[in-house]
Amino acid sequence: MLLLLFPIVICILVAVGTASLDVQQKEYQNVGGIFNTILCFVFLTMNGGGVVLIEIYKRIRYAKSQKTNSADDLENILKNEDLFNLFREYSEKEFSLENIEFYSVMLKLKVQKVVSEKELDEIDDTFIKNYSKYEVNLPSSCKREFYKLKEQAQEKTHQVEYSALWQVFGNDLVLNMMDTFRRLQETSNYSQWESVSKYQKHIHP
Amino acid sequence: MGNIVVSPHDKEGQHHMMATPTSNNPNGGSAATAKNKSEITVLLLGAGESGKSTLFKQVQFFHGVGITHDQERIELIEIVRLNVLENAKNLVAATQHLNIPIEQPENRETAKLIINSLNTNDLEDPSWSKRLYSLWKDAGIQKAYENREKFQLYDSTEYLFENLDRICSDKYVPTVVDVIRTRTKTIGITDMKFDVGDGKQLRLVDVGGQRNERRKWIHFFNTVDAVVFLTSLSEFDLNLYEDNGYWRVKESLRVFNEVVNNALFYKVPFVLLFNKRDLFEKKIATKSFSKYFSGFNEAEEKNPVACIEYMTKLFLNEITEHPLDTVSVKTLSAIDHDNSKQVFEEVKQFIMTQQHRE
Repeated sequence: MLLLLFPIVICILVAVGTASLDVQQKEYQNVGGIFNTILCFVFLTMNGGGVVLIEIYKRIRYAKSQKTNSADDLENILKNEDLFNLFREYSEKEFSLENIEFYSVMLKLKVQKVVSEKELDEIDDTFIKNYSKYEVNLPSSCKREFYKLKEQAQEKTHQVEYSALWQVFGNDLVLNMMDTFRRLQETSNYSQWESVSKYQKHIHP
Repeated sequence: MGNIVVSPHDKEGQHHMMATPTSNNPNGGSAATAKNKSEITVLLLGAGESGKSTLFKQVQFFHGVGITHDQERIELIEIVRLNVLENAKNLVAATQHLNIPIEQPENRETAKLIINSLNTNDLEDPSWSKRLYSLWKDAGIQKAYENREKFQLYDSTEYLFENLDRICSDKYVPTVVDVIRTRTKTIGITDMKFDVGDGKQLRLVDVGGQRNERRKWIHFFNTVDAVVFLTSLSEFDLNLYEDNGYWRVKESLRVFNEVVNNALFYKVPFVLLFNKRDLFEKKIATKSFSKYFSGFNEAEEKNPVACIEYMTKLFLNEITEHPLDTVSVKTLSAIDHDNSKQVFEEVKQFIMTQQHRE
């Protein structure tokens, strides 16, 4: 509300400062009108207008550069195949490919909704066990939960719900990926992708 | 202090990361001696949560890159709030695990919400500041906090809870201190470069410290010119994040032994930094140090200098191959900006002097 009020007050002051003058006076008093406006501007700034100005500046400055900040955002953004590939390539260079590999497997499992005992074993051998090929950086509590889930599968239905598996790994996996993704966002490659993506949306809305 | 010349974006805007073997071969092994090289590569090594990335962030900060800029810090709002939630969840879980009841009924309600549904977006609502602070001050939660060596909790817990009124606001922008105090697990390997005079650049490489991350370190062992190994003084009563049954000091000693005695580092200046001195001094005021080290004189356990001397001997005893005159030992509080700046300057001077000697 305050943001809206500020430019309105400025406009009124400028209008009053100039419109009230007749034609003959205008030539001489234009300078006075501008001076009046500057004076009012300074007065407003001293009375809290400065805060509004800073706020306007921040909004303009940061409005254009909203970046990915949450796990949901990351998941949505990675639905774009080009970006996913870019991220994959970048992760490889930063030696953190294991997270993308695991995430890719999780995406495949999401479609089938249940995960078999055999698939759980494969996940264990590839991503969880110490010194496995793509061992993912996970807290011990996470690994403990996974092994509980595996035990349940062995004892009962020989499969688990995908959602239960995501519950165990999802948060930590996305957090790991976000650490790398944030740095990717600083690169020229990411900016290029962003520009192309915006242009494509513009021509094919 | 040299001027930063390469920010996290190089000339092409590419994040300056560890390059692929084709573009910047980490295993290439330059034929030039370290003395003649225009780039000095310094590896920050150490087990998880030893403070490598905190020091890295401080170096970025005093070179005017990274978190110096508002925009960089705005992107970390989610991470700061995640730290708050993780800490709150861990504390609530600990009360259950340690059988400590949360005393106030309204705090028990808050605890339920934290475990079941609270997310970082909710923390934009200032009412959560009061609710979380009330939970933090609950006698049950405080008792769990006193026993924090029995579960995983970030060092910054107290700081974050004491700053909830700022963090739980829709206008929140993390301060530099917030970012420095926030725990972010490093995944993979990143670096930064800056001028150190004489036409040379120092390339500081930050790595993840957990067990799976250490497998990646070897990619840089061939090209390294100096190693800065960090270990946390305050971890003497803690177990590992990735293996909750394993004592952190034992792990840190093991990793130090492997690194310092690695043949590739025989001629490389080596700095051992005992980090988190501030936390350590607070901790030994209330916790027993000698309980964890049978060889330590119990009468001295409230004397930080004696404790640190003991730890120093423990680590230096691990050195069997590396020449001792190229090893420097220092203490550090990486969350303290001035101390980090001073210690890093000393480390840099030590490395440069060793380079000239060579």
